Amino acid sequence: MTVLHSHDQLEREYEVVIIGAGVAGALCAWKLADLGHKGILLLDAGDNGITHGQRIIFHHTMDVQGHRGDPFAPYQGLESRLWAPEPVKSQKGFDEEYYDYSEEARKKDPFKAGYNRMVGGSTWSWRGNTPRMVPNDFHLKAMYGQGRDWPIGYAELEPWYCQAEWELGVSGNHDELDGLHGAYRSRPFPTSGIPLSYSDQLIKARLGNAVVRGISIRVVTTPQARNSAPYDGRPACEGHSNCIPLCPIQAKYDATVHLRRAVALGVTLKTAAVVTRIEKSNGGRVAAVVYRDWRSDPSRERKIGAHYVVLAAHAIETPKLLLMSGLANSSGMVGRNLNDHAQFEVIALFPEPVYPFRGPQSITSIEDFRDGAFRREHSAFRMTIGNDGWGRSGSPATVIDQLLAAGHYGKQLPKLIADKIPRMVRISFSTESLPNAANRVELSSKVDKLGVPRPSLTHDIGDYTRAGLRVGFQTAMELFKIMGAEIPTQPKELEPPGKRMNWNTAAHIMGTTIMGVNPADSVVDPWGRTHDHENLWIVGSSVFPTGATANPTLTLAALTLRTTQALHRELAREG
Amino acid sequence: MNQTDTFLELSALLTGLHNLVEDPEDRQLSQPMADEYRRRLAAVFGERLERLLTAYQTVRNAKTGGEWSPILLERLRETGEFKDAKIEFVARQIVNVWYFSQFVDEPGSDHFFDGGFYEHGAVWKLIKTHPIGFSKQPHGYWTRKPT
Repeated sequence: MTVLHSHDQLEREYEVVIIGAGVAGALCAWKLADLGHKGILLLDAGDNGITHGQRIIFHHTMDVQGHRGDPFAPYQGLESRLWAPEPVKSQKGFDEEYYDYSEEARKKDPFKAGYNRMVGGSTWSWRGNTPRMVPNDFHLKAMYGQGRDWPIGYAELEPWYCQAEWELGVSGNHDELDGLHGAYRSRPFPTSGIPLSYSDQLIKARLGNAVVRGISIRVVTTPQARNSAPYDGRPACEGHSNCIPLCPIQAKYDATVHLRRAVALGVTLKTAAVVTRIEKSNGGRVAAVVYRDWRSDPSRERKIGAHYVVLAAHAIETPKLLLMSGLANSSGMVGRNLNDHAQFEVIALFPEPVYPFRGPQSITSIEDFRDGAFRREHSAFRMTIGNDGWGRSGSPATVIDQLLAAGHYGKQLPKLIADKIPRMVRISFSTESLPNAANRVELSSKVDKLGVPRPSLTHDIGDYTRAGLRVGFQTAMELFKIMGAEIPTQPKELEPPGKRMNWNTAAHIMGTTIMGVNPADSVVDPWGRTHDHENLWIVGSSVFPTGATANPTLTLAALTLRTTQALHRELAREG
Repeated sequence: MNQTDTFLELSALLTGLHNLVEDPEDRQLSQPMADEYRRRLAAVFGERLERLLTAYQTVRNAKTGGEWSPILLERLRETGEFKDAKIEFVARQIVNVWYFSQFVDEPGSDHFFDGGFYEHGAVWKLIKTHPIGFSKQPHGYWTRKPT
């Protein structure tokens, strides 16, 4: 077992160097090692642990900070943040310190998505929702004349979806989802769906099979990488209602699962290593990875020889590193087609108490608006029903702040709290955005503490998505009316007069090194190999040509397993 | 009456958690928590907290001869101290610390001070859930209506 915090052993040559120990890097490293490959090095800028002890330390911060919906709360104290900064205020728009925006970019939209630069990546603080994409998501251009098509289809990815579901331990109800918008399932989920909360049961009963906007809706159990029974050595969910920012018992999958497995199989995990460039050899191949070890001497560059390099540093850091290295960009597409799911939530008070904050933060969803002829006109959207009160729109603490601001001190206060908070419900919806080459990651002239350029972003969600957000909002309002819920003044207007549309981020960063058949308009081929360098591969959501409406983790996991199998074949062929 | 008792009475008045003073057992068991909350609030608000406590004592002595009563709330709110937004802000933080074991030092701040008893915040029992992040129940408990 090798987890290195010292650098000395690394100045040598490795068979495969994987950059980024998030879910994509972890799966790739584990799979290669599981297939018998040796000499695998996994580098990450973070330096946190991957054991249960580390989880306990993070969990302790909840006792100190409580829960205010901040996905970064338990990780604020990590020293790696000084050396490998990450966007922590991106939800607030242009105020984010890590992202840079040109004057021109500031006239467009902020890029609100953030991520965790740490060992295990953003899976420490994800919700765990793992829907598959549906067949037409891969053919948006062919079917609806919008965006672009993927070079692969659902049928190609389906077996890999199955593998990914079993690796991540996805719970779900096979019969409910088999055939969803044509998405057949060839294998059941490893465990059945998470049982519906009391709240879900009441909402589902009120909605029945209502028809909204001409579509008959169904409330279904969201497939989630969250155990509904003990699985893979991890316990069943105990409903801590804390999926974001941290599952305290790892009932919810995170990348440390495969990191531990990878390390046990002989993968070397080197932490505190900020990669600053990848170097080419004389031919078209890449030959070395250069990094700084911020734990020892951050000013010193260290070089590792690599037969193969796999980039798994997410859709901001991956293109950033390629641009810093001057690699894989003959198409000029590195950094372009930056994408996210624009999201919004509508809040209401249910007619009776639903008792939120008991169980996972969200269990059910409405999948019926994810595909249809309407995609010619506006984006599709996927809706989730919260089990966490007003979600991002108002924690219990916010509600009490509001009651006090209204002067409700004294004996009326507990009564108002007991009446209001248990009736809080939300519906969220995430929309797809079209790929847009103008939406991009570039290198800023501003640098971080190590002298590494910060990402400079340009982003515009586009009219197609804005139209989808409007429809999603109207749909959510209609659903609440069917429930008989009281709809208060929303804390955020979707379209404040005279201002920019007020969407949230789903923090689903995609695009920037998209896959395609044509080297002139894509960065990687359909297997994840860069068109320009035969031994430089990319895994992660950066290869998505379009974002569709599914939370990206399952798709990126499936693609990673598929890419890793291709890399395995190549390594085996080379002997 | 010591400072902790005064703080406990003021807390009960503001939060509506009257059991803190009306139930002798709760009153006794809440002493360590009240002492810690007062200490941590005093470290941040110092004189402003003192002024609020003094205003409460003055109202109590004048109105009920030194006895705690829910009716003191309206009198307290009529005082100049309570009408001072900076002092009322401290009153709100007293409520926050009892309900969530957290408070902030200025309006709109997203830096939360820890009260030290997050899992014992009064809000959880009221809304019939566990402290967020700290379930002690088995898988599936959430399917049932809480009792």
